[in-house]
Amino acid sequence: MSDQTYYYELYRRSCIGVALMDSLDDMISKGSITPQLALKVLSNFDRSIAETLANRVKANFSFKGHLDTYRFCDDVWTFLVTDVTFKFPQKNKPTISTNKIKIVSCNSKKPGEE
Amino acid sequence: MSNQVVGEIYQRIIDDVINNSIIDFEEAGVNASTLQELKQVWQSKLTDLNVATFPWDPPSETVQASGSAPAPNSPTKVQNNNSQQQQQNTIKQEPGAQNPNPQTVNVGVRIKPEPGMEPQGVYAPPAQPTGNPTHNPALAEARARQNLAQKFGNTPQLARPAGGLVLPGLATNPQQRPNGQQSGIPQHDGGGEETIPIEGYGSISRSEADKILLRRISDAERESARATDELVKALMNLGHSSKSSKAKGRRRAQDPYEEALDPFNHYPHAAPVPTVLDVSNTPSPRPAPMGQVDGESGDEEVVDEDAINSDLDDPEDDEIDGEDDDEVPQIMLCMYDKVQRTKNKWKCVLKDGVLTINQTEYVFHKANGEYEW
Repeated sequence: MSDQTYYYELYRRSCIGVALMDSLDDMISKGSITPQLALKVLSNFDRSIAETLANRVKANFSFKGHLDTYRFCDDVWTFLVTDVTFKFPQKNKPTISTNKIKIVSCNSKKPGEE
Repeated sequence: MSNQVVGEIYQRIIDDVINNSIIDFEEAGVNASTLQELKQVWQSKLTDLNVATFPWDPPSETVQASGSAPAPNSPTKVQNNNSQQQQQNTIKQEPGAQNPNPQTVNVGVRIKPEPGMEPQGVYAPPAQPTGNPTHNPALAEARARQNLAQKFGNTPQLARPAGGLVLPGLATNPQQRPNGQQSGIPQHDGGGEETIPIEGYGSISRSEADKILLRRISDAERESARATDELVKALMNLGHSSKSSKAKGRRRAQDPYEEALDPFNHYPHAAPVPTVLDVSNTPSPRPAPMGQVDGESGDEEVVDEDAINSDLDDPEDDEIDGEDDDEVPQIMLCMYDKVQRTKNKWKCVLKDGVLTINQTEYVFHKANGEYEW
C-alpha cells in the first residue's frame, strides 16, 4: 500500500460491490478463479468506484432527519438517522422520505493528506 | 442525486474494473472468457437487486431503449451500442486486447463457448441472467452432449448434430446387456430397427428414446449440480449462520452442513468423512476475507461471554440498522468533508456517495445533512 494510492473498501457494501463479491464468491467456489485474483479484482473495484464517483457524478442534494446514534471510530463516522427527508435542488423533483437510514462515511482526506 | 445516471455510472465502473482486471487475469493464467463470465454474472446479479435501470437490461423495460439503445436483434447494432459504451470509457482499451464481445451486451442470449475454451475438469455452468437456468431445452441438450462426450472420451463434434446417441465404437461396451434390458445408455449401431425398448416406456421410436435419455441425463446432472450448490451454500453459510442465528435466536434444528456430514443421512451424497466434526472448531471455510469498514465482520460476535453488555449494545440498534438479510439495506456510503456539532444540532458535508433507499439506488457528488440528536 505504500507505493500506490490507497482506496477505501467502503463501497464494497454497496449494491454493485455486493453483486461483485457474490459473483467472485461463486467463481471461487466453482474453482474458476483463486481468492487472490478475486482480491485483486476487488481492489480494482475500490479504485474504479472511488474515481468514477469523484469524477463523473455531479448530482447533489440535502437531507434532514433525526439523529438516533452517532459514532466516530477510526476516522469513520457512522450515523443512524431516522425520519429522513431528502431534498433536491431541482424544483420539480419530489422529496424522498424514509424512516431510517444508516450513513457510513470515511474521511475524504486520506491519511497523510492535509 | 439521480437514479437515472446510476445505470450509466455502474456500467462505467463495471467496464473499468473488467478492463483493469484483464492483466491480473493474464498474470494468474486464467482464461479471459472467465473474466467475461464474471462480468455477466455481476451484471445479472445487479439486475436481480432491482435497484436501478441498467443499460444491459432487456430494452423492453428501459427508458433509454427509445433513445439511445437500438433494437437488440440486429447484431451490428449491438456492436454499435457496444462500441459507444467503449468510447465512453475513461480508460480506453487498446484495440488488440480482449474485446468484450457482443454477448456481454446482449445478456439474454447465451452463446455456447467452444468446448476447448472451457476449463477442463471443472464443469462451469454458464452464466445465467435469470433465476431458473434449466428451462432451456437447447441448453439441456448441449449439456447432455457435453456430458456424454466427457464420459465416453468422444469429442462433441463427432456426435451427430441431431442429438442421436449413435456411438458405434462403443457397441461392445461390457455394460450393455444383450437382452435389451437397459440399465444405462442404449448403444445402437444405427441399424434398421425403428423402435427400441426403454424401461418404463415400452418400445418407442428412436428419436423419442433419445429425448427421454437426454432428459434423464440432464435431470441427473441438474440433481447433482443442485446438490453441489446446496453443499457449497451450506459451507458458506456455516460462518454466517453460526453467528447470526445465535444472535437472532432462531437456530434451525439441523444445520445443512451437519446434515451433509451426518453419517446416517444419505442425502445427497454419502457422508464424506466418517466422524462428525465439531463444527464450532472447524475453521470457517469462507473463501476470501472481505474488508469490512465499520467493524461488522461478525467474528467478534461469536464469543458472548466477554461482551461488555452495556446499554450501547441495545438490540434496538440492530433493528434500526435494518440490515435484514433478505432486503437491500437502507444505507449511504460516502466520504465526509466536514462534520460539525453545535449542542444537539449536527451538520455534515458528505461527498462521493452511494445511497440505497426504498429499494432504489442513487449516486451523488455532494450532500448536506442536518439532523438533531
